[in-house]
Amino acid sequence: MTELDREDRPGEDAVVLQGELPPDDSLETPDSVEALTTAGQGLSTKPLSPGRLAWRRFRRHKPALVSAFLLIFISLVVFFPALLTSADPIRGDAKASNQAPSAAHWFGTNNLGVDQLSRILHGGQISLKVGLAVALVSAVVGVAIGAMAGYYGKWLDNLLMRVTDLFLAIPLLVALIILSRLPAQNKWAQTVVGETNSLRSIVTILSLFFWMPMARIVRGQILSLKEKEFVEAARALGARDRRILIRHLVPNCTGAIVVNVTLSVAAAILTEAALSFLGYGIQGTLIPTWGFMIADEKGSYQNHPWLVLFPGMAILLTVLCVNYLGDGLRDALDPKQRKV
Amino acid sequence: MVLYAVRRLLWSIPVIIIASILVFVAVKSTTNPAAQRCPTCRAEDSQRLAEQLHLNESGTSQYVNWFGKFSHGDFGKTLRQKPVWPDLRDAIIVTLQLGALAYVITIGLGLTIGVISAIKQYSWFDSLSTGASFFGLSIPPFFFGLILQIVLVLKFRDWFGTTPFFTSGVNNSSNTGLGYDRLIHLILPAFTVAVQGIAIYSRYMRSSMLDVLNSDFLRTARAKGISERRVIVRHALRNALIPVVTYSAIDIGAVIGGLVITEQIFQIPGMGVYFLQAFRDGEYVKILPWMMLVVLSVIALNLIADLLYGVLDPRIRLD
Repeated sequence: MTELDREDRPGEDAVVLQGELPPDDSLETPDSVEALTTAGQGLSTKPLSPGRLAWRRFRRHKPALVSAFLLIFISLVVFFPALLTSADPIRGDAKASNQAPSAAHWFGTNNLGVDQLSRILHGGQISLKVGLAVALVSAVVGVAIGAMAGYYGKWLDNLLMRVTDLFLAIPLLVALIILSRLPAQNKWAQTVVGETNSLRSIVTILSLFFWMPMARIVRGQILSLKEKEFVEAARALGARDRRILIRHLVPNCTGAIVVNVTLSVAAAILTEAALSFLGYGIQGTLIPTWGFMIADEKGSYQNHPWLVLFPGMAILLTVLCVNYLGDGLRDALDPKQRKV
Repeated sequence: MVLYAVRRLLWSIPVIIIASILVFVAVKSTTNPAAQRCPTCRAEDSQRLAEQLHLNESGTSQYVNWFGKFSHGDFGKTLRQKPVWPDLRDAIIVTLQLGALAYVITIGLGLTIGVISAIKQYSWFDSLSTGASFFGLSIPPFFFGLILQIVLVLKFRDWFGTTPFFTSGVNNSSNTGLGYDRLIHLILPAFTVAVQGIAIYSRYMRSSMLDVLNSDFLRTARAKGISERRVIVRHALRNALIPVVTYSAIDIGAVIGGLVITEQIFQIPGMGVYFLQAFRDGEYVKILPWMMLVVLSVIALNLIADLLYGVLDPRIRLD
């Protein structure tokens, strides 16, 4: 156990003596065979690749490991609902309305007799798409802003960070509610972000308010990275600013970026659900989003609690898994950033 | 220190003006009172409405007109010719009660859990609170509120009556005092608002406390023979609180979002319900002062946070 503890410390695990591999850790992976054979030949100091080290740290985070598998399962059944149920997510049997969960309908049926499980799986496609799209778009924006602020410094840094602070101070939900109506009133906005309450407009609006943490983290990392020797070396070889930024500095922030993208997937899913719940989220799709389902049925929770419980559990489970995955990834990829 | 405070105060004047322009543009371009109201209006009514709101003038003069009135405390009248302020005031009072209670719960529980987790790192309590905080971060607040309702309405109907979450008193706008009855009925909504905060603060406090617990000055304090209790309370806790306190003031944006959702679930007539109702009706006359009050409180709290940081941590120079 002492070896395990020592390995957990950031910085000390860059080179792991293979002779020190704890036995319980070395039975399942291919590198363990090598480790066992080299163990007898004294201390082999061949370093493990960073990827393998990260995987080893990640594997130790059991909730993250379980979450990763659960997320794979969730994405599979959400994007291929036929794996779990063949029920129609739109048309139902009016005679079988508002049925409690049973063997035929695992999650029950709604007031039109539509199978709730099928609805949740199909509706989940939108929620997952929103989460991923917002996280990726805002990551691009955040990395660009953070990298420029950190690298060029001076007035540009000052300006960009004040803008970041401003966006952080805006009450998120209120701003989103107001902006979600913008395409309905403004033709120009409609051509840019798409129809009101469409997937595209909601993703655009959400992304507008999700880039700030990324910008701050990337800026912080670039600030310290740009003083390192390898940057000086690159510059001595004649590399220009843009090349140093894109080829040398940003790739060195990959760990922090990946962790942050994961965490903003969770936040985006939650925020979209809240917006949908208030009636300003994605609408007009044949199958409503999870948040909208809850809003739709919240009046009938006393008589048909399953209509509210299952969509809510779907959000909770997905977001919980994403958050745990992010935590595990932070341990694995970005051990120094571990704060909360 | 005083100089810094004065300078920051002066700086907030242009910030407020810029924010007010943004608010005005955002609200004006997303609400359209004439389009929403006038199918039912008579022609002369629309005429009067347009004159009253200066709808026929340029955007700039509309803004100047509104901001001039607003800065003198004149919040205008709604489309139904009702003054805005009395209703808004009642909503503010209700929300302040809810928000204050939620804040006390958040800070109280969050910090306590965080401190205990840090002192007993890797104990069962620590693992439990870590798990619970992930749960609290991942559960949608509106879903948590609904679960509370489902469980409590179905199980404890005898305790609270059939409508356990609001009394007739709360819906009565003339009754805005905070009595015992109100307090009881605000506990569950306040807890709903607080869940996410408790999760965040307990993690934040834990890591902040762990940083301090591993520092040299704490070892010195112990070496001097100070009792463990005093070491924790006087030396560790006070230093660990610094980053948390500042964070708590900046966090107001998230609290406002939580309040909007929670009020909607529990049907509490506070600022959240006020905003949603006004926005749905396209009553921008009501939304503008609402937004400006939010902006002002965000600016004020950020200012307080910065000043507090300097007061709590003498290492930080504010000028």
